Amino acid sequence: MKKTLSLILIFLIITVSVSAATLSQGTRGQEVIKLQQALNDRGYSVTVDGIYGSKTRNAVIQFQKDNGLVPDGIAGVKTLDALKINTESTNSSSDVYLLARCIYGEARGEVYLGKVAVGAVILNRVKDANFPNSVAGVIYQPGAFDAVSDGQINLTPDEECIRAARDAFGGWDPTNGCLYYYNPKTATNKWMLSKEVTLSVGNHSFCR
Amino acid sequence: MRKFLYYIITGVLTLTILALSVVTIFKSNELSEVKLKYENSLISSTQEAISSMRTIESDLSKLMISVDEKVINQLLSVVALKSASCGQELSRLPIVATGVQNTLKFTNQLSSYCTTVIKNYSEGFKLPDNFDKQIQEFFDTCKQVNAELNMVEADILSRKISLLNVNDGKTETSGMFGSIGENLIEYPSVIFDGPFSDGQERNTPKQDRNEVTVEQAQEYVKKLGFDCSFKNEITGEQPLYLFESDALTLQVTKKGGLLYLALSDREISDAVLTNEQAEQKANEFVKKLGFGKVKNVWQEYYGNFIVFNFVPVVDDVVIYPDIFKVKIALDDGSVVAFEGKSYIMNNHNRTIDEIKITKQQAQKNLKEGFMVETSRVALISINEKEQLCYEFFGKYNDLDFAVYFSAIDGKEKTSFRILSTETGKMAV
Repeated sequence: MKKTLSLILIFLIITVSVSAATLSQGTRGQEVIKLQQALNDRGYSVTVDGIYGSKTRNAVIQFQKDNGLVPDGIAGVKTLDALKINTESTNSSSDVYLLARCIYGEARGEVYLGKVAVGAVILNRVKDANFPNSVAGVIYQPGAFDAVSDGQINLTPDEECIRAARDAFGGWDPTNGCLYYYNPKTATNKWMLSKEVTLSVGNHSFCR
Repeated sequence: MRKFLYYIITGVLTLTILALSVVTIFKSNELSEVKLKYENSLISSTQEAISSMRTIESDLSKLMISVDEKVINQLLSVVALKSASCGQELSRLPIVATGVQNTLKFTNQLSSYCTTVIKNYSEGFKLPDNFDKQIQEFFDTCKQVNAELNMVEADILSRKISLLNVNDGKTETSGMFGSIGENLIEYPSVIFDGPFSDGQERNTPKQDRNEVTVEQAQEYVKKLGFDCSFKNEITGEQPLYLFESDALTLQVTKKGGLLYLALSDREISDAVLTNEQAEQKANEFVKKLGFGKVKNVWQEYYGNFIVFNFVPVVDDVVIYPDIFKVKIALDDGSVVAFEGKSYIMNNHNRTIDEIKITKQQAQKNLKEGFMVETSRVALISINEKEQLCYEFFGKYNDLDFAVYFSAIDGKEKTSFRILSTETGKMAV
């Protein structure tokens, strides 16, 4: 288990590339071309230019509505599967999406820096021996995050939170290694409040 | 007539109250059921953790007297497995329980220690010098943890405490679920070459750099082309200077005065730059960083920005442990993010080992049928140890791989499968 983790970390260090197996507005490249061709083949007329613009998004929404999928305009695993586009699902792609959901639930009102910071705290915990060894283990640890306790983790994350999750996975850690954060206006936990604050971003104070 | 109406209203009201009562009872039962299921799952996790910890204690005691290599390896495997599974169960318990948190660290380290010893042993190394002492310490701690767990188990089974109410501030708890300061177990310090060694929890960069003043850091920020003002110092893993503008945050190391992190909040407009133009912008920026000779080894393509991954090149060897990233916006070519932690922590004046195996010799060790497309010499980090390797990119059965063979002894070190994704290539 630890071995797996260390290999994942090595992989992150070496390649530092993660993918969320989702295409959304703003994405470009070969995978978008495949998506546009598949939409055209099914009668949803879009220009095949490899750029996921608003027209591609609208066509995806229409396709999702027609096929009983959630019409969010994001071509995720289910939409791509319904379009018979092969996707390579990896553990890291699932983790990015789960992290994005937690960031959305915890910090969607924060500035981008605050979103990446929340993602970084979660990943710092994965690397720390005091916490579970997986992204899901850390996020779903009972009592760890309000967004899990109140169910907000199940909301669909927006594009910015997915980007923040990718950045956190890519190594961006504005918190300088923090393991905790709290909202100083609402926090009551004395132990948490006694910790030295490393960084404050928006409504959150980050500490080690 | 009025009397009839009275009966009707009373009847309707009675029926409504009855219906509401039934619904309330039903909902309340449902809630109790959910609570019970959750509590049962917590009890199950605690019991599983306790059971694993007892096996670990027993096997650690056997390890203290075993002399046969095979037996030692078997016992270490069981301890590694049981401590990993114990950790998994403990992580399902409420995070607020600080005793649980400390025990989780213990199981993580124990599992990691055993795995590392087995791996090193299988590669021909001896048991660590302090193996007996370390196992004895693990055993002593394990005994203390089990003594506490026995009390927890008794409390749970006698319904003295409910795991649903642990650390809610009202329930009196002790032992594993006690508050900070009440946990009297002494956890051993674990030093080995694995990822969770206490010795690895270093925050000191490998290169000692001189401290710079705020003014010098400000000058550096300006030289990089950023218009940001000094805000404050940041404590944490590294002492840093924080610089900010409306949409940009920069962190510069106090020691060495090097860029550690940059992150922009600004909205990036539609892409107008080509990938080549963006790469040129990234190259121009890294020249100003003061990171020496570097090479762009990997790109990630997103809608309106590209992330370039750079590594230093020393004597034609690419130094992966020192990787850093530059994110270029495709609307105006500006740097919108930078990540340099690995560079700051790992970069130092290295003496690169002498290559003892030729590329041809290493290539002979590749799996038959593996078609090499490109290759180079690279320094990679495995479990915190740097290893000089030949890096072979190629195909096997139409699948893309990157494989690493030691340039010292020709042995295979690690491999990655390369996948094509919407953001470029990815290694898993």
